[in-house]
Amino acid sequence: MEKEDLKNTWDKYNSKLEEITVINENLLKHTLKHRSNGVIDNMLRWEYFSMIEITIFLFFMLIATYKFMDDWRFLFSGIFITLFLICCIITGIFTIKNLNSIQLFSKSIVDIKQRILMHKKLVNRSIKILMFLIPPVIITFIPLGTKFIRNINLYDYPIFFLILSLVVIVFSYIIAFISHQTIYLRKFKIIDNSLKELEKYKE
Amino acid sequence: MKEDQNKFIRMINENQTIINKVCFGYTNNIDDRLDLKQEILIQLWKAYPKFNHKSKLSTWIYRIALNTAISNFRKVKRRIECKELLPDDYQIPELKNDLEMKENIIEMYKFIYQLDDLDKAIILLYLDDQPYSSIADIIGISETNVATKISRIKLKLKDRFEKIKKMEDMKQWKKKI
Repeated sequence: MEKEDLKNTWDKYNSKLEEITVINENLLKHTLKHRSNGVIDNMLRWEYFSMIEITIFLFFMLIATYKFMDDWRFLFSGIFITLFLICCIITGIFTIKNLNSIQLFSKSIVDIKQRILMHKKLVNRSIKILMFLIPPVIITFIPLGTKFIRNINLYDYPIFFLILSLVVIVFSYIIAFISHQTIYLRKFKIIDNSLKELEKYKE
Repeated sequence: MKEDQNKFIRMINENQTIINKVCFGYTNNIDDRLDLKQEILIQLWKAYPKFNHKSKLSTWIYRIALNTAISNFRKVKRRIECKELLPDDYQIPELKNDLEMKENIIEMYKFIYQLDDLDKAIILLYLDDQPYSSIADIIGISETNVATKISRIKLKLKDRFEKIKKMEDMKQWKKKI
């Protein structure tokens, strides 16, 4: 099949495609009514939901920190977790900004592809950082949380707290390191290569 | 609202071949095709109030349909391997009696599926007689670049044709022996 044949086949095929039944109007109306959100809208909705959750948690942490700020250990935990949550909110804002910039109707294909890759890069980078940050956040949160909710001071049980911290750190860092080496390094390589290819494609 | 919806449905019915072509070009089974079609319709419906008639309607539909198909946000993105495809997978029931035509279409899709997403978009637009300026606008590259890409795709097509011809010659030669 050469170029002319391809073109002929395409034209004949088009005429056949036109014969395929007209999109069922009821089905179309149903689609518009019940699935009025596209994939990007759902992702945005999820981001907004996460932001609300994080803000509520931040509010809770601020109250707990303020309540036990006399003890430097609780104060340190509170500040650390608050900073972590603020970073999560900033990342969330960037993610929402990125998702909002993906306008399928006004941007070119290359541009959309670039934005999607940049978004994926940001999401993967955040997950990678989160994997390494979450263990210390959990360890610092447990004493403050138990003190705030149950009024139990875990620092009074240093051995138990030490064992708990070690278990959390060892397990979570093993998982984080393995996923970093196996999944994220590969993902970053693929995204970077695709971005380079897109740049070349535009030249 | 209802009037808008009716207008939109009329527009979709008039231009449904564009949506079908993109769906056929980027998916290889009915489920994915329906899923993509639904997603394209949603994106078109969302963008419909913002359509300003500055560009041609077909260009606008092509842009949204191709952007939706190419964006990897869809649930499943199966890599289409020509080896995995059987004639029935192409789902061209209207052509059951026209075997030669069906073979040609399968050959055409085998070629289209081999291209990467961007080249696939270029060839779909080219085969649909879209002017280079529209292709350049939809893809986001210069017109000269479009011409270069099309000539490269033609070279790939020629290579493929020669390979198929060689294989057919080999088969015939083996039969003779």
